[in-house]
Amino acid sequence: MSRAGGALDLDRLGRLEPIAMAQVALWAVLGAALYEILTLYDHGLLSGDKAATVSVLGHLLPTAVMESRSVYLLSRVVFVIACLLWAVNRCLPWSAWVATLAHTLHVSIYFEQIPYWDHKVQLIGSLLIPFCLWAHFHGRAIEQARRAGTVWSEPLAPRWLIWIGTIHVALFYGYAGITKLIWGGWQLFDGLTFQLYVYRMGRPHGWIGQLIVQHRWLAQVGIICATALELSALVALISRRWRVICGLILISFHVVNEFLFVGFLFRSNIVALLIFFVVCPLWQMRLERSAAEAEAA
Amino acid sequence: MSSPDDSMSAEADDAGACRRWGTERLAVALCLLAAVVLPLVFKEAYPYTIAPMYSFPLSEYAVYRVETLDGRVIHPGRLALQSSYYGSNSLHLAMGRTYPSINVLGKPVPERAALIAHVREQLRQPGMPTAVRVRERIYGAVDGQRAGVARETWIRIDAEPPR
Repeated sequence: MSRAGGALDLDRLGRLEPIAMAQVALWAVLGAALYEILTLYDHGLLSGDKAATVSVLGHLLPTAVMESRSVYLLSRVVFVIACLLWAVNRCLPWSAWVATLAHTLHVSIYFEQIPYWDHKVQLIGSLLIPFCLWAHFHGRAIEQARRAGTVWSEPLAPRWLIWIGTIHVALFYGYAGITKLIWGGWQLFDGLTFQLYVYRMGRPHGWIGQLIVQHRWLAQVGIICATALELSALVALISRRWRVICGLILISFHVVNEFLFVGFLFRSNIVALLIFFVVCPLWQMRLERSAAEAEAA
Repeated sequence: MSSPDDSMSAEADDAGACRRWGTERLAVALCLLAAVVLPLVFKEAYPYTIAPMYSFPLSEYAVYRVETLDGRVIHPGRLALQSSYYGSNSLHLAMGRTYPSINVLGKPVPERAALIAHVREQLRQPGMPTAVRVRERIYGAVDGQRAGVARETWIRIDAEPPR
């Protein structure tokens, strides 16, 4: 699936391209990760005790680390510094590794201690990993090119980077849709569940909220469309055009959610969708069109 | 014209590049595998998740307000009556931390007898009042189209059952 409708070609995925698109994607991902980590607020509920293990690092690191408030605060500072270095392609690949580990550690400690849960950070957190791998395998070449002043002209970004980022975004939404089908069953789509969620966590007295809680058929249409849209993110992997359409609809879906639910705007998800489902496919289509025109000429 | 030394060094470069791409390919494959498999195995293993937002069906849920007999409001969490939702991870998933409650979103609303027995048990703890008034507000279907407050009742509960 290295290109729309094409067969999986691993060597093609390893081919290097100019850095511009990958660099823009990196800045967007780092910006979103920085925003999320600086706005991660524990409401004073960070207990200092690790409870259930709900992170990959929680399975790997000693409990003392996952319970440490010093590590929690230090990882935030370390992330900010490493993130800035990574964004300007300095100290690669170490800045990338340190930033990724510090971000993952900080959020992992947060989730293992607080008595609530949300899914606003996960997508951006998982996207840091492929970008870190890019820095690991190509960081030295990027540093050399930066010193030589050729960073924008040399091929330094492997094709797999955007490909794997796109898969991460599609998986996040695809799993959300599948989970609704498996755990929710038919009852989830009767409309009442959605109405009650609006009451429980939303703004039932806002104008969109009023429409939903007053009209079950509308709630039913809403939840069916939302689930279909989430599932369609997986289908969007095979077509760039559909990916752009799906990305724009999913972004609108998040914006509508902000009107319906209190503090539920998945801001970093919007950034990820914009980059991997809208900007990159459009960019790739434009590059291919230019190449085809050049060939024809 | 290239010398034998040049061609040998080019071959060595090619071999190095091939090996590097082999390692890189493995790392990319593992990264992809983790994104697919870890959510399925652990469900929640930050940064991987099955993203279960709003996946639990609801038919009704309860919200409690607790007051002492002289009208002082007590946080329902002190009597383990707070509405526990935890951002969709209430039923099948692990949470970083959970506080005990009999009022979990997605589970059936507690029966009246179970509610009274639970509050009575809580009132026997030190520092608790001897009696409270509990408002039970049930949100559910109001009619065929609308959802909202389906019923609301106030119950007086004493630490010791009336003789």
